Amino acid sequence: MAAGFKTVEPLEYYRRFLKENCRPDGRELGEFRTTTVNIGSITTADGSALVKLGNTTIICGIKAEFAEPPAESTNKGYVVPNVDLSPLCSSRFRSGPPGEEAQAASQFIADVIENSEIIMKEDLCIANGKLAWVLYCDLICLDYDGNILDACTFALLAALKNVQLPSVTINEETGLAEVNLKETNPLNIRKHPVATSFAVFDDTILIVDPTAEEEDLATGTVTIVMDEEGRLCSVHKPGGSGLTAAKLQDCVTRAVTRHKEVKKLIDKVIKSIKPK
Amino acid sequence: MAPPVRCCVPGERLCSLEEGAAGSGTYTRHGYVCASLAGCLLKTSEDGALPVVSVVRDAESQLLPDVGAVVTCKVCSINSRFAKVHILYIGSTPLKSTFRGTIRREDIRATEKDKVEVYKSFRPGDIVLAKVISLGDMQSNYLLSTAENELGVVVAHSEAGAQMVPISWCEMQCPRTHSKELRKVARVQPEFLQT
Amino acid sequence: MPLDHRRVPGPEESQAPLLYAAPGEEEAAPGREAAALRPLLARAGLLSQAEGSAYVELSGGTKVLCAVRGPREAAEGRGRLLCEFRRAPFSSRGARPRPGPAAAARERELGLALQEALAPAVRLARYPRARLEVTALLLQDGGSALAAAISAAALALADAGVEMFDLVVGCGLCRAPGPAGAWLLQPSEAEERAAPARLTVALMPGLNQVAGLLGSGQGGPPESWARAVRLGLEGCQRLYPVLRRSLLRAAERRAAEGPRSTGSSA
Repeated sequence: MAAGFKTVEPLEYYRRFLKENCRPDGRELGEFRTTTVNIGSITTADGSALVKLGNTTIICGIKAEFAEPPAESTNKGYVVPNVDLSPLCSSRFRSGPPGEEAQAASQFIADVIENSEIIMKEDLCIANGKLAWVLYCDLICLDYDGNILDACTFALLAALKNVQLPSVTINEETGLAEVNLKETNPLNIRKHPVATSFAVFDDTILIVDPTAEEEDLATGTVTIVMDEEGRLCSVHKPGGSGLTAAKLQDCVTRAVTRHKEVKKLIDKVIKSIKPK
Repeated sequence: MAPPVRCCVPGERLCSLEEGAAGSGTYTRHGYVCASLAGCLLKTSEDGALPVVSVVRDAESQLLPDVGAVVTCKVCSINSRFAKVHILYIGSTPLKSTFRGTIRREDIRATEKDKVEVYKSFRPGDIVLAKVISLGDMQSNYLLSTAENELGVVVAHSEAGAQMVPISWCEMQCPRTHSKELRKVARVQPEFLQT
Repeated sequence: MPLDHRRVPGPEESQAPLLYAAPGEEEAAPGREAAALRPLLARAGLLSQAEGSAYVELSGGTKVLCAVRGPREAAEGRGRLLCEFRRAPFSSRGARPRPGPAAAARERELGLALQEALAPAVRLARYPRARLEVTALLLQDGGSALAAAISAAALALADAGVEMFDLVVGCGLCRAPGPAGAWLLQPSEAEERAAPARLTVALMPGLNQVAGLLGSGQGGPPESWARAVRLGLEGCQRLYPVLRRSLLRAAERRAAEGPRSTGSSA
């Protein structure tokens, strides 16, 4: 019976839940979905992580390669993120080159990397002006049920923490790189940015961690990225309805709490795989 | 039904044709009834007749609109010759992706077909009960008909945006402005009241 | 190269560090029995947004995820099965493949092979005016990837409630190098790379009919290939019970969860 009403009047259906301060999936307005992370499952990648936020699933695989440092800053390496949204994860996407949403998500992740200084690009330089690491971070959505930005940011962070780079020395005589695959080093992760997303309903009601359905019905979304020192790395609000300063402040406060939860989770998972 | 339900996967032999007849979710090959769905086995026997063996899944399983099926659809556009609709439900089962259908002017009602006007029967956004009369040819999509008393508009919004109340088989009234609008209204049966 | 505005720009060129590693660092593959099968893990119905889905993992590192959408409205009158095969950029051991026509052509070829192997098993006549879309994503290539994708796709189709004549089980083989090289079942990625000839067989186990065969590489005596096909079909029969069980488990789980399955597990 409810299903019929839901198809015909989805927004009205949703408002009835909001009136009771709950959501159709049984969550409260400020409740996140169960978050799980699995690190290092893809052995062909130099670092990998699988993050689940309820049904939403993102896998991040990082491949490290050599390249010449950019001409304008010879002491830096590259981090190249790419978010992939294919028909595998949702029927709303078509196969082929990245669509609008995938491009926006890739750019968002690139901005987070740049602004948060999660890794210093200087750390990726091997020989000034000659050789540097490129980290290709491919984020593939496997199951699209909303809030992919939070899941992508988390997957990226977890995968970066999992990266082991082989040690490289430059042969003095030939000037060529020599790689020792047996000796590996982790990356120097300087900051831990965590994203927290909200959907705005009818200009006033805020709900955290929206599902795909909620994102479609909402009048706007906000994503806040915060590091462990409580500094804002990025605020992403793509159009939609306006938001008062007080509401935005509320979002920031909740993002701080969320950061603590996510940090605790990632520390626990890293610790659990360390002894090996 | 016996409590231990047997589940099967496509390709499994269920029984020979002497023991049972092929029902839904099965096919026959080499004298055997085989499963074509992953689901639970169901045997229904009527007195004297061979039991019918079928494989059933939960209500969610995928249906396609078939000739004779009653469907719930939403009108997306109209012109003087036909209304284009999206099929949302087959019977009471929601479809995961919508299929497009067409209600031609001559299929809107059973009598006085030449006097029918599409805009006096449907408006975009209306929820309509209709019956599939043809799967269509290569160019066209599903052809639907509302030429029965039980078929036609079940939910419609007035120009003021309020949900209207049916007052006759061809008129609905807006509760807010009390203005009347023309529709091909369905006589709603209790079993379809859910929508 | 023209600038691609749809992706975050990286350097013009980059090389895999593997190229600079001292050769011979890779340990030799341990000796193995030719007819040994790698343990297979299969799970059906784990994605929430797809009508049907399945995940197949061969121990040793081949991981394939498969989703099915549909039946969806098709432009044409007849039912159609569309298959897509994609490789995650991090799925192979060497350099990350660059998006471009070469990579796309390779994926298209595998997609076609997937479709050819599945088509005989699907009752397309039951889906007039509709299409079924199968997407396979190779997350990690540890050898026998196409075979794993075929098995996963068939599971996903059955999980979606698509009417089928039978499941399809895939099994990969390759011939070991050397003049009298034996055929190895379910080769690893390293074995595949060294092999002069490769073969993938697809079997409909219930009907005991071959759904697809894809062989490539240096020719050999016909009896050698015939032996390979026989060995492969035997392998498929041995894999079938695992796949079947995963599907039954998914069906039971769905029944236990009630009409609206949330899909996720693990």
